[in-house]
Amino acid sequence: MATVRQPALSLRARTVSPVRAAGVASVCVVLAVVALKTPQALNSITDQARTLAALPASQRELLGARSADLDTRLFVEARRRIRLGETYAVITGPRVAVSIESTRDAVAPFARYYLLPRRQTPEPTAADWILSFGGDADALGLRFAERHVVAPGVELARVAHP
Amino acid sequence: MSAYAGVVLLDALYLGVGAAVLAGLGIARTLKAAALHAGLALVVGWALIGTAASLLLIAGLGAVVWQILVAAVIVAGAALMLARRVPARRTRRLRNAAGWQTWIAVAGAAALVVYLEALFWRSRFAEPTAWDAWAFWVPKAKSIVYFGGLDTSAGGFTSFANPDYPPFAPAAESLVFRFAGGVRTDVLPLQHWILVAGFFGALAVLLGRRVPPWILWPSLTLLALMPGFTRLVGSSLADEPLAMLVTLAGICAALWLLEDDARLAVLAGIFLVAGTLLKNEGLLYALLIAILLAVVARGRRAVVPGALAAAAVIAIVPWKLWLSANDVPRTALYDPADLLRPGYLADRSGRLWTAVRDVPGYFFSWDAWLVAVPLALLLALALVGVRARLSAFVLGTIVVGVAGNLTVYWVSREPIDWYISTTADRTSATLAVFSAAVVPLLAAEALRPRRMRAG
Repeated sequence: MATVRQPALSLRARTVSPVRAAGVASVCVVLAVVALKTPQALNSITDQARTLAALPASQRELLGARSADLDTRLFVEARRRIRLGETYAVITGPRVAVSIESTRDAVAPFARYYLLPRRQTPEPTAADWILSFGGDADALGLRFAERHVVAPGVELARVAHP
Repeated sequence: MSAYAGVVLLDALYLGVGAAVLAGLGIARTLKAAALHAGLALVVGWALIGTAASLLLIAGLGAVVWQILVAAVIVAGAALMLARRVPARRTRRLRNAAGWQTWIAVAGAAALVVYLEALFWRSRFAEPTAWDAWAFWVPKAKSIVYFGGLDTSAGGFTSFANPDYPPFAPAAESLVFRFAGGVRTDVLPLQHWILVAGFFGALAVLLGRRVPPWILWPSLTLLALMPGFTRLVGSSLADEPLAMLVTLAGICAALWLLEDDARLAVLAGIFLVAGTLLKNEGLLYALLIAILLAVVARGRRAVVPGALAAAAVIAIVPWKLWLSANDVPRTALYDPADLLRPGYLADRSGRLWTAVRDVPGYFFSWDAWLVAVPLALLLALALVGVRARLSAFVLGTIVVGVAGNLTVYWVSREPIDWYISTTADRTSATLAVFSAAVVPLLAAEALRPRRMRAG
């Protein structure tokens, strides 16, 4: 393969057609926007990098949950206590006050993300553990071998299977 | 071996496969040409290996390292065999005129490099934080590694939201985990940054055939600076790779219209197949590009648009069969079959008006996409008389793409205001990134003297 260099495009023309005028104008707009935005965008990205770098790795992993205003202690505790081969179910309810409506919806998907390869099951009776975020674990009709209150209304309970 | 060394190895594999394909197609057969085309080789290799990993998973395998290495050897070997039949063709590059044009090109390239360096440091310390990334894209990838493939039991691949989405993105992320030696989400943003760097390298070498450096580099910097694009880099949202794949395919298709070089059509096909296996919208974009090419290039080469459409449709068939065999429900967000129900559509006409009122603003948003879409539209309109096919292709892609976007909001069953507010900033990404990438090509064609306009 050979590279063939073509002659440069020249801006010199005897007549200025609307097409060439549009071309020149658009390049001018591109240059102006790049000149305007580059310093601001660089500062913004550098600030973001600095903020992230200042966090410990274990905290960065939980940023997704924080963006949904979740209390991350439940997930950290669950990862510590639930063994890799065990299963868990998530229940949510009004026993925890939340600042945004979607917070409760975020508990189960973030638990899936954070706790894999522990499998989440939709059926509490089939689970080894219950993660409750404002839910009523007693209403499930299960017997529990362990209960760990992580925060008011937030608990982790090990199901006592017969 | 550190996780980062594993990521470098994976990218070396992508680079090697892509370089073999470019050599096979006669695009880059010397060391110098290969170096010049390294970015293109990286994204071509990623598209092909990601496609292979998706197909391995659909076939019931785990897409583990040795299977990926075998697939890479097969693809690279086949490509190099092709080199014995396909002659090399000369690649053209435009040069700068001396003086101020060179300074603009150097300044534009320097700004891009500095900005990519800043993005590198953010990626080095980032984690996936977007809702959809941790709700289903990344957990799907984790489940592939932990459970050895597409597991359909509780906690497996199909237990996450949107289980019917094709597997390319989780498959590619799972390769990062496998090569990194463990499921480490902190290496994903860095891998995405590497692909983004390859994306810019690919655009530079593709567009450099017809765009002089003083237009090219500032325009690529504009693309990088778009806040919506910056937000996507390293997010692990599939909108990021989809935007890159469709943009690369669109640029190859546009160049094919201008140059009638079949090698560009092959590259477009590789990117469109990968996009089809990436997200449901990928197939729609593939069909859109193929149909537009068929319309605007009518009377020239009907076989190329037909082949592109066929490749995308054939690529998705195994996934559809897998979904059917495993009784995986379709996404509840929307059903394309609803488009054939006039009563259903009429009952929801209010949603269409809401979408028409609210969605276009996302495409023209300065805060997300700067001036990309209006500039592309303006230039494409200006070129109607002198570059009719290119102009029609770009206008068609943007206009029909936006119309398709509106249609999805129209037929969807989700609450319209919530659906638009939570998705339109991302669903506008593909067309906005394509618009930004095609601006330098359109500008160069507008400034091209008549004697140079013939392909």
